[in-house]
Amino acid sequence: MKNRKYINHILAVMAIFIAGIIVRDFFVNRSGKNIDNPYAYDISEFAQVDPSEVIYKEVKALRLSVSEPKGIAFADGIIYVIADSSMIQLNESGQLIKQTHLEGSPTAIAVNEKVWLAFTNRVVQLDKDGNVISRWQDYGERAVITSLAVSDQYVYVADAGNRLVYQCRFDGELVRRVGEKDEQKGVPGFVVPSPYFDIALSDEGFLWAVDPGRHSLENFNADGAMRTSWTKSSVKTEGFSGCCNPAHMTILADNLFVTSEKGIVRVKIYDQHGEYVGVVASPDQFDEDSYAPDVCVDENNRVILLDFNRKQVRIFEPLNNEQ
Amino acid sequence: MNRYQKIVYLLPAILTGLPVWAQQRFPKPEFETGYVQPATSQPAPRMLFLEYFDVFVLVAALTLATWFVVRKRSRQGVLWTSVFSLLYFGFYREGCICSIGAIQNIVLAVFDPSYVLPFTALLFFIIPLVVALFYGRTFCAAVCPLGAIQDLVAFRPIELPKWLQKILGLIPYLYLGLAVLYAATRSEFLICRYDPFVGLFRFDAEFQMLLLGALFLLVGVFVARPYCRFFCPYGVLLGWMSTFSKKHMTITPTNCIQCKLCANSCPFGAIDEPVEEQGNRRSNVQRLMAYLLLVPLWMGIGGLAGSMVHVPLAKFNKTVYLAEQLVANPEIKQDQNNIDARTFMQKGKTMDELVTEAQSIRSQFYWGGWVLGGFMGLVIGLTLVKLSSHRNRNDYVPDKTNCLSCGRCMDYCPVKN
Repeated sequence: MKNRKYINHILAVMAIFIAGIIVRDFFVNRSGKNIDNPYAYDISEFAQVDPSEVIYKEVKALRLSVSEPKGIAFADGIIYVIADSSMIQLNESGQLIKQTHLEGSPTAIAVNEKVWLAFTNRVVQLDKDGNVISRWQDYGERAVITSLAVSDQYVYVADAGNRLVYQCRFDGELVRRVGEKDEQKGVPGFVVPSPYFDIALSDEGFLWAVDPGRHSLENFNADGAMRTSWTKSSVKTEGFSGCCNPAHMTILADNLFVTSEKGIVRVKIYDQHGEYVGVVASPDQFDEDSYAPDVCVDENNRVILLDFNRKQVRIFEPLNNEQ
Repeated sequence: MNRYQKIVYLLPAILTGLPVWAQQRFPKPEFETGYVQPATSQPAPRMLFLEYFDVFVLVAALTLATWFVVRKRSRQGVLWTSVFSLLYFGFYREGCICSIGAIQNIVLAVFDPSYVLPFTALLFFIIPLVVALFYGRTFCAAVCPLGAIQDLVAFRPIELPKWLQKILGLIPYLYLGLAVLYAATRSEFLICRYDPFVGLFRFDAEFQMLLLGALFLLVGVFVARPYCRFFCPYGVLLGWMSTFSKKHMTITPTNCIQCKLCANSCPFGAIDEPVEEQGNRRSNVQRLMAYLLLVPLWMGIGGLAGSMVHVPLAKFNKTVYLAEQLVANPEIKQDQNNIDARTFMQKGKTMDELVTEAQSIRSQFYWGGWVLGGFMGLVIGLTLVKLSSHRNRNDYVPDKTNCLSCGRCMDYCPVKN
């Protein structure tokens, strides 16, 4: 054959390559050798936020002398923080106004003219001086109350254990169970894999509840029927990811939603239709492996966060005050 | 298009429609962020009846190939059957399960009582061997997808020098021995790891494995079926079976007319030419006897050599490697990036237990090294015996051990039925 000599050379080179690949792989990737884990859980890429999307800036951080913060609320210029077995009232400058020792460890708080506290499976009404006005009956051993919201007529109690919201009168009388799973009516019920189940009221007094397993926010009318909902499921900044997010939620003026997420810890704003608006606090503003901060807002559209890891109340205000 | 070609075209069309029956219960999430799902190293599990369907296809393809080779004497038939096998066992079944890799399943089942051997894997291992025992390597000719893909690129085959063929021909024995040793010690499935074509079949492999497959195919343009001839460990077993086959294909259907047309037709150098015994018969017999007597010596030397390399061989077992690493560098125990060290720490085993286990595995490699070395000594000894033995041959006949029954020589033979 013509060119046999060249072919022999080519074959010899290719044979060396074949042997080289096999031997190299055998030694480099040998069993037991520490190699990069292609399945490593790495979400650092998704924790990056484009600076142009950040629409709030942190203006103040108030340090708390507590060991375990639990929740936060804002009313009439006062920040209410529940922590350990006490309720702390601060003004926005960080001055301690009052600290009230409680009968147990609270799990949720809401404030109107009165202070409403949840203690795992029961609700207690206090006046603003911390005196107990009434104690409701408990909701059973399964109940895990994670959030409270109070309107002119009702107190709404979010029970993550039973995966529903109780609508109650101020005296504790149960009016209805909202969002309870009912297969006959085709109501799927809330998906609440972990004790993160937040509620808030809109300007019109309608109940909004987080459906964390579905990455949804659901809106109910006064008779407990669902009016509307929106879902944003994505690992990207504009969505919610993981097993149960958003972990916390509140509502700003103009029915803008403020959401707080765990996993990739971040606080964001959505408009009333569920469209992503921007970021209040990006993941790099929290400690590594932080919990999702609890959120509330003041009358000036400032977002107030309770940072569980740093044990701080952190106040953010809009970069553009027209926000 | 004749009847057979129609069948060959139609079958893959029907069979490739089968996957629509299966649906992944939990589909992979679709990321919009450019995240790339890591490549899986094994195809998805298959329903049991489809596994038996694969066995049925294997039997059908083997029957068809054997009929084309032995009865019909049709190179075209063999070629199209191999195309079908490439599509079905290669691209559709993604090279798994295959008879070559089944060697390891069999070995593991023998040495590890906790391993349950899939019955279909046993069938894939045995059926081609049984057919080879009667009809020669018709599996290699048209059913093995690895063989088929190489056969299709053998455009300009050249004949390698005999001495080189003999030397390279020892590699499959060594590969078989190592594959058995590593499977028996539960260390590694070597044959699967270095299957050069599985990445092409799955359109999914590391770059270097795709490169390996491409190199084999490039070599295969000039050296026909390089993997089959110089690497395939299953080919060793098939060759042994085929040596004893009574109904092996013949180059000519009746009497050879010594036209020599077939002499250069075989791209695998697997045709034995007519030969007469040369030299003094007495001295030939003496040489043969001397080589026969040397076989135990070769085995002893091989066994000793194998046992001497048991320490480096055992390093490729991950328990042994981990034990060596932890003994030499105890700080690795705290290395959060070392998955094996982390797993070991979380298991709650003591170092003593790990070292004892590693010593036990190393001991297995010691005795395995003796057997592997002895086996290679036997192969070398018998190869020398075969080289020194002479049999008179009057016609051109296929070398039953190495003949892949591809049927090219039949095409060249002017004698027809």
